[in-house]
Amino acid sequence: MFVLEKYKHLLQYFIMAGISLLILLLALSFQVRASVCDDWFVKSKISKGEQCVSSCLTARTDLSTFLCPQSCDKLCGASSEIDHLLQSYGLTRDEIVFCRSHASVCLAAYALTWEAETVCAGIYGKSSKNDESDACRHFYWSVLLSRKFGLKQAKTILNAHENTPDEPDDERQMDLKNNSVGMMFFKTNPKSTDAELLQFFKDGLKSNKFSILAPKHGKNGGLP
Amino acid sequence: MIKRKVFLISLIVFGVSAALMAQSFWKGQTMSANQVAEKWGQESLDMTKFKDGDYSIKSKMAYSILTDKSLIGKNKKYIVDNFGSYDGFYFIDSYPAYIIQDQPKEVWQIVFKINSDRQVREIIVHKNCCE
Repeated sequence: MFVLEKYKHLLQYFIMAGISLLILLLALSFQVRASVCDDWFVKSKISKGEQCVSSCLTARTDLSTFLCPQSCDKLCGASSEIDHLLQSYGLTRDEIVFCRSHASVCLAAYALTWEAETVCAGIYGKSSKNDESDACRHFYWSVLLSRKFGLKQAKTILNAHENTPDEPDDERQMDLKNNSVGMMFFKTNPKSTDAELLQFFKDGLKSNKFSILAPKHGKNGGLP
Repeated sequence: MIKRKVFLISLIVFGVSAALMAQSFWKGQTMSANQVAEKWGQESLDMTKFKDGDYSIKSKMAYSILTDKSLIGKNKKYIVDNFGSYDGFYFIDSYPAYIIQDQPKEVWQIVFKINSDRQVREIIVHKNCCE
């Protein structure tokens, strides 16, 4: 039991790596199949409308496309398995568009949200909204994304994440501001260590660098 | 040929078990409806009371929310309008998550997991803090 407890984190990392690989393979296989079937759908000159599914089901196939009729309902509805997979996790429209063409980057980006949340939960314990822990997650995620993919792609991912019609404007502005502090930090400190990153976050809280709509730790310089 | 079959079977077994294990890992610690009822009771849901209430009121309604199938498919706006603005966090910030117990080393929240159409697809009671 003690040994299990000791290696719990290592085991968890292995499981996450395995799962990421499986999801990636799954997503890629969906994409390959979707792309072949999309081509087949267009070449078969099937028009979208009432007769779409029946025309699609009876359209001629060959060895590479004989499974495509199984996707007729989705092809007719202009949807795909990867979209369905992404939509079920509540990603924004822009994120879905991005993830469709950058599956591996997308998965790695969301693995980094986990890393950012772990760091911030380590500082604050409770993960909440519009407070310092929220600012922490956005700041860390933007730095981690910039480190891994560079500023341009990080900005694309971060902005896609914020493009939600149902998020109040002040909350979106808070997130965008904290994301930009993270990207600015990376721009000026591209080779920073984790310790320097943490120190910058703590100093930033004291000097009001971050946008925090509902501060909970104001009396203690933003820290618990 | 046999080696290939063994490899494929091992891969499938590994994939399925890893998926099951990772699902619980990714979700973090959650509570079943029975555990929720045992911990906080089974008061029926009154959304106005929930919206204006403190954690002790919210936690008592957690069981009703968790088992109320009519909330599945409701859009995010409906949830926020009726349950109030949310104060918790789970996975991504667009999931409405309401803290129902806030004690040192034990913070629980009820989470409405939504899809890209902004509709509720699952409701869970999740331990926000601390592992």
